[in-house]
Amino acid sequence: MTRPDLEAWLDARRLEVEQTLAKLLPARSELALPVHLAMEEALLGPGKRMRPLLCLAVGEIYRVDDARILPPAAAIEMVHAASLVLDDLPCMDDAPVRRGRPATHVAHGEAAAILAAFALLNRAFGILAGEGDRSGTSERIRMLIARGAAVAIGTDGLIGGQCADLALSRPGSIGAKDAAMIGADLDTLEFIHSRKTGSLFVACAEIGAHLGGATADEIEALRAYARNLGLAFQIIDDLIDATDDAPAAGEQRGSFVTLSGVEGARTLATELTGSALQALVPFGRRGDRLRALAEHLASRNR
Amino acid sequence: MMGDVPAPLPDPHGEGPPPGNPAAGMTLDAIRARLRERGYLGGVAGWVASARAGGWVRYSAASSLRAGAVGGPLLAVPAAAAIAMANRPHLDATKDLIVLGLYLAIVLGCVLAVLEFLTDMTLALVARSGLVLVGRAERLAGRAGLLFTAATTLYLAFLLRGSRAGGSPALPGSAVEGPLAWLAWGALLVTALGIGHVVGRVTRVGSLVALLASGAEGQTDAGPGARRGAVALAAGLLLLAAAGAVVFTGRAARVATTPTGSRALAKLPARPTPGRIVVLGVDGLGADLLEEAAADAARHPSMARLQREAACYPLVREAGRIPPSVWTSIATGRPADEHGVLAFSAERIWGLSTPLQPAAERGDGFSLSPRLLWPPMHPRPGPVDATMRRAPALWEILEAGGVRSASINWWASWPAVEGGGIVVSDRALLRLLAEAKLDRDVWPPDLQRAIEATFEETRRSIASRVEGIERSGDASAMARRAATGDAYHATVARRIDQGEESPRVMLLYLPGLDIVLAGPDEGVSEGVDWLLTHLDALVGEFMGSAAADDLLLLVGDPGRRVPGSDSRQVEGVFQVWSPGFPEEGRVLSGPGPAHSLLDVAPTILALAGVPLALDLPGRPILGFLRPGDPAAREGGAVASYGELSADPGQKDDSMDDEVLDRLRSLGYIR
Repeated sequence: MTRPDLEAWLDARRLEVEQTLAKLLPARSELALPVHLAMEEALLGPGKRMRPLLCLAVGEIYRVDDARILPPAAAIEMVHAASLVLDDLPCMDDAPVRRGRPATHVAHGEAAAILAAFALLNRAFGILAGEGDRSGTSERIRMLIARGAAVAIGTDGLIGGQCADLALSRPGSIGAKDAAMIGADLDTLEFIHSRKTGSLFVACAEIGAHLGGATADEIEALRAYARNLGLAFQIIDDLIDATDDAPAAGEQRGSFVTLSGVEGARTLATELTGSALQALVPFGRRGDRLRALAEHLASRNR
Repeated sequence: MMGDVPAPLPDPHGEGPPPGNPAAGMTLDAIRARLRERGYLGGVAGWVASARAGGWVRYSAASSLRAGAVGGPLLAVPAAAAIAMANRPHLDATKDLIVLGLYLAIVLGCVLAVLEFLTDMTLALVARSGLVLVGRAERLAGRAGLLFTAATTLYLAFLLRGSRAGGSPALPGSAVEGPLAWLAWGALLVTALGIGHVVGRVTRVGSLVALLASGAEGQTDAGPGARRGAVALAAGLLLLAAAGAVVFTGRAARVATTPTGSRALAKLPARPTPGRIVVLGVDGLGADLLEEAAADAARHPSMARLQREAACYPLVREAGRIPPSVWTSIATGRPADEHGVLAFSAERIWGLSTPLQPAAERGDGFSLSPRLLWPPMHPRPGPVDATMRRAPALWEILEAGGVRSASINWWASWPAVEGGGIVVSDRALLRLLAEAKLDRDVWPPDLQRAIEATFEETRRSIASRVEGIERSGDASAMARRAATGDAYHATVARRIDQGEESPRVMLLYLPGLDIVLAGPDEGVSEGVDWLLTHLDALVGEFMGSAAADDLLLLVGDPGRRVPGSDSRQVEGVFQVWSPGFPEEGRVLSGPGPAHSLLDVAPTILALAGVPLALDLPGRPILGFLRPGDPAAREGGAVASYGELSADPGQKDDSMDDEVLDRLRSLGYIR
């Protein structure tokens, strides 16, 4: 698959995802309008939509119908959007800007932002549970997917990662002992990245695999792909941040660039991407989209 | 549980690097090792699980099928071309190349599929120890594939160039110009790329072994730098440019040699010459043996007389050639790679119009074993025959020139067909010995009855004549068989010579000496003695019955006594005698200059008044003639006698097994 082929696919599928996101947002109610507005802005603002796209690419291996896979893919994007809203809060990263725009709490206030994040999470689980979905996905599959999402969000996922990230980057913000002993060593960084990025990548791969009826071995192979790709994705983020003029969060809390140097980080990203590709070997040409996606992510510079 | 995440973070209050200097002393290799422990970079349980499970086997099977289906045909193209070149000119028909390519595609496809499957399974096992290494092996193998692509591109380019210049077999598309030439060039590149890809796939295990051997596991990759990509691209473009230059600087085919499609040659304007010509071809009779025999004038008076009165020329020829090849060269005036008779036997493969002659019998280098090529077909072996001869033989050229000839027992003369005068093929005796009915063993057909009658009449007398050879032992039996054969063929020659329509040129091939000399040591001396005595008598008979203008040509070749590995130029003998020589003073004083055995055919043709073809590599040996001799006059010339098609047509191969057995019993085939 050539680069233009993939980019065309990304553009087309991103549009479908965004249409689905808009469709799946709850109807506005006047009294909760601030939350609705915050949700819409947090969810529908500009974004790469890599997680739902990963879902869709995995689904393509098994030719899963869009009607079945787009809602859970969108649900994962809602989880991701919620996590970003929470990450930006003053009590956490205290980031005023997200993707060049005022962060949600800046634009809508902290209360609305917190409520919007929880609303997005709840909406996501509602979708995963099959709310309004008549695509025929079995209850067993829905349960597997929802359970996976719960793990990806919990203390073994986003929340755990954010906790460690806070302890590292903002000592004292999360507990009395937090920053006293935690350092930006490899274990910490891997812990943070695997939870904050990798866990959702893995959940995305699992969604496509479960919906496609993948075997246990295939699911394992796709998890391996997502796990390696997630870490590579984050290391590349670190590399991009390291070469940006503006200081980034990664620089504050340490990163793989500070750990292994620019060349080392680049090498690790290449090797992780290679491992992700290797995990696709059992799929043969069916894995071409995922291969192209991995190579695309590995070659990005923004 | 969904989300098989790595193990929890170690207690941050326990062991670990101190804050503020977290990465102190941590090398990239250490980071890799740590990540591997945590499920990245090769410690991926999922993929290994896949390798163990049916999903992986399914993948490997599908991958193998693809490799076979794509790689087989791609590899078959250059392989067929290489085989065609190695078997040139024996195998150069486009149709044969295509059929050969199809066979090779199947065989190579199966081989590649198996290799691919084994490679995949091996990598699956190795993956337990580290996916990065497997990935690196794949990248290394990919580079090996690219190198192979480069090499294949150049090889095919040279091949195409050679073919366009007319020096190689007619590769499909090689004789075209303009856009079609570019199309052929494009096909060549696609083929090379495909081959490189396939090679890259099946050499992954080798790459892995190389990596392990070099202890490369801990080394870092340099990363996919854009600069390296640019360099590779530039190198590739340069290679393509070089290969393109190779192809398109080759001149297009200059000579279109179209087979006649028939074994009948165009009429040749022969001029009349006086007298008859008798050619005795004696296999195994080298210059040394003839000199030895002639020295014993009491036992071999005719040979002694020949030695005294005939013009004698040493004949040089390439060592290692076997009788069918040598004597067909003598009969055609062409080297073996032009006339195409290279072995004692050949194997026919369904779909190939030209049979493949085993390399083991040829002694001229690489050839493909038909059994290796297509084992399930069990190609049927058969003795060499006239359909494998690409160049016209003396009897066909003489007939085209209107000179009546008789050829007896010459190699690759079966089936005897119209257009070669009287032909008693090399299978006639075998068929008679097997008490089978003659079938295209003799031409013209009305001669069959006479030949059969001659056989019956002479059988008993021949048997009594060879009784002098010791009867015990295999070697003696072989010597008796050899002597019987020679005696029978000599008798047939005499009968034809004494017939109503006596031929002007008689060509008789006698293999007995070679059979005995190349056989077991036991009984050789008796066999050789008998055969030399018999030969002397035969020579005496021809000398006694010769008219003043008649010529007796004795052609001797040392036969298989010459070791195949010896590349020395070896000596045969060519003697010319006529009753008028002593009186007319046409005899050379002492031995004449050495000639090639390729000069024999032009000599016979010139003496018979037939125009010589300009493309014959040999020149006639006419130094023994006086300037005013009618045979010495400048004859006409033609550009070429043409080629014979290799199409076997309808062939009765019912005797093939028996002929092969006979060749084995005579020691030709082991």
